[in-house]
Amino acid sequence: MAEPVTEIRDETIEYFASPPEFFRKRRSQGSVIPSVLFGAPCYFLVGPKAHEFVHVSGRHLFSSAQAYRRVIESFGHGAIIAQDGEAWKIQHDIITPLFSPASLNRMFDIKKKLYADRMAQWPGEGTVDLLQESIMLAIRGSLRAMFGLDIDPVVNEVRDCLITFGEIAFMTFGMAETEARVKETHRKLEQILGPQIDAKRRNPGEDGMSYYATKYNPPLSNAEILQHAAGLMFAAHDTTKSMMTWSFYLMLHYPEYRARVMQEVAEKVGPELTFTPVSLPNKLPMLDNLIKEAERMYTPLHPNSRVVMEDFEFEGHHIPKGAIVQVDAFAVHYDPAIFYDPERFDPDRFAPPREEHKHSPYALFGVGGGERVCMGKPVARQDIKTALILALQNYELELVDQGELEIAWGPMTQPKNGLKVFVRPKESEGQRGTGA
Amino acid sequence: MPETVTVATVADLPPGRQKIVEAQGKEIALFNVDGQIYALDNTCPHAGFPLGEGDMSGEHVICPGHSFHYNVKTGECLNDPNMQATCFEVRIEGDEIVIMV
Repeated sequence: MAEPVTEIRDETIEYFASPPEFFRKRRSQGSVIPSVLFGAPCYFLVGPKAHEFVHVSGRHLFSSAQAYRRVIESFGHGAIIAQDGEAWKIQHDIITPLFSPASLNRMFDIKKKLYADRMAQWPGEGTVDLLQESIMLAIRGSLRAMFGLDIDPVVNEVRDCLITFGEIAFMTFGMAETEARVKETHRKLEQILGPQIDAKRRNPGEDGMSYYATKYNPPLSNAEILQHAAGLMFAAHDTTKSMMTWSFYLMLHYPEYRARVMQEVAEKVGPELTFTPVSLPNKLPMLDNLIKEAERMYTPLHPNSRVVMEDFEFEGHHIPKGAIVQVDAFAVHYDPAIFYDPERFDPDRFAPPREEHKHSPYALFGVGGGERVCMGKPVARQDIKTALILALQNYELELVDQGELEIAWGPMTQPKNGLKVFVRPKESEGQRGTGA
Repeated sequence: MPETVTVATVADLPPGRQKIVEAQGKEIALFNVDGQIYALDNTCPHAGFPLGEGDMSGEHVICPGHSFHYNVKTGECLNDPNMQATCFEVRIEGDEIVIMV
């Protein structure tokens, strides 16, 4: 039987200071680690079997809606991460076509152009912050390509609203002082996007906002649409931004591996990025394995929370109804029994014959799993590849020495002080840009 | 009634490899697991990605879309019991791979 979790001091600060270190210190405790986070008792269920149990075979025992109540209170009741049962299924089925190969192909052409246009604004020779650039690429790509929005007049204001929701959902505590801020932000978002939603009702396309505007029966109001869409708009760009930034960082920090990626891109892509969809593995294994290593080492949204709806036993431990259960990708991603020498950057761990991620379907677990797997996974991979390839084709890139890189571990993993990179165009200004 | 369709030769598909073929207007993914050939509908029932473009891991194929693992012998999905890939019967006739579609 596990120790009563109420006897454990609050471990929130230690956990978010470095989740890999947190789990390293507790490796001997086995697959159930009692803890206290944010003042509430909880149990970390650790390892691939735990991921399988929470996301697949034991999923009926858990509620996401109860675990992510703050997400509902900020983004709105329709945030899919915080829905359960029929409401979740209806929304899941409505948005699934957004993540099909056909949709990826549609989005690819739009994003390639957006990314190339943004990169064309980089200085002729100078420093850019690739964290900020990844944010701008990801938010513009998500709003324009996935949601079909006319972004130029609204992108910064929408981004500000989403940041506010994200901060309230994940970073601040005590709803009393944030309730008014949430209300005001929803009012502002509806004011900004209302006319575009009305236009989608009249003339729908194959995009997320059109799906929300036309596929619900009975139809949703504009406010309700945004209570659904805001969560997806946030998720669609924030995780991509994180993994894109880390993929850039790893590629630039390890020049020998960068040379291999560059050779692969030169041989298989050539000077223009024309084939789609680039998310499919096997076509660019070096680049694909680099992105997998970024997912393993710097998993964007690593914690997954659930509230227990019925008592259950897991690996000999009794977990009571009402408890909070956490599964965290870092507990597996830094486990030397699964990933050899896990502290080390080693993308070849994913290549034959090692293929360490194939030890279990739940070994590389950066985007959740089971029926609630992040639907945007192939979109994010395609976006990251597109950005990296366009940057490599057009620019010499060199990390600016920022000293030891400080990491903000969560809940969204990113470099604390940005990622400064010196960029120099490979060709003259007039010849740059392969997005057309 | 299913029809028999010759889709490839055994030499086209070494152990541990996969191949996409077309039969009766359907895209079908063939897999060689330790010398035995198996056939699944190429379209992943989850979001429509081509299973024949996925990586193999023993008797499983990993969908290139959301990394769902399907058993190529049974079509069973390890990540979501609600998902089931369609299997087709395979026969080896001489050096030809024949499937029932």
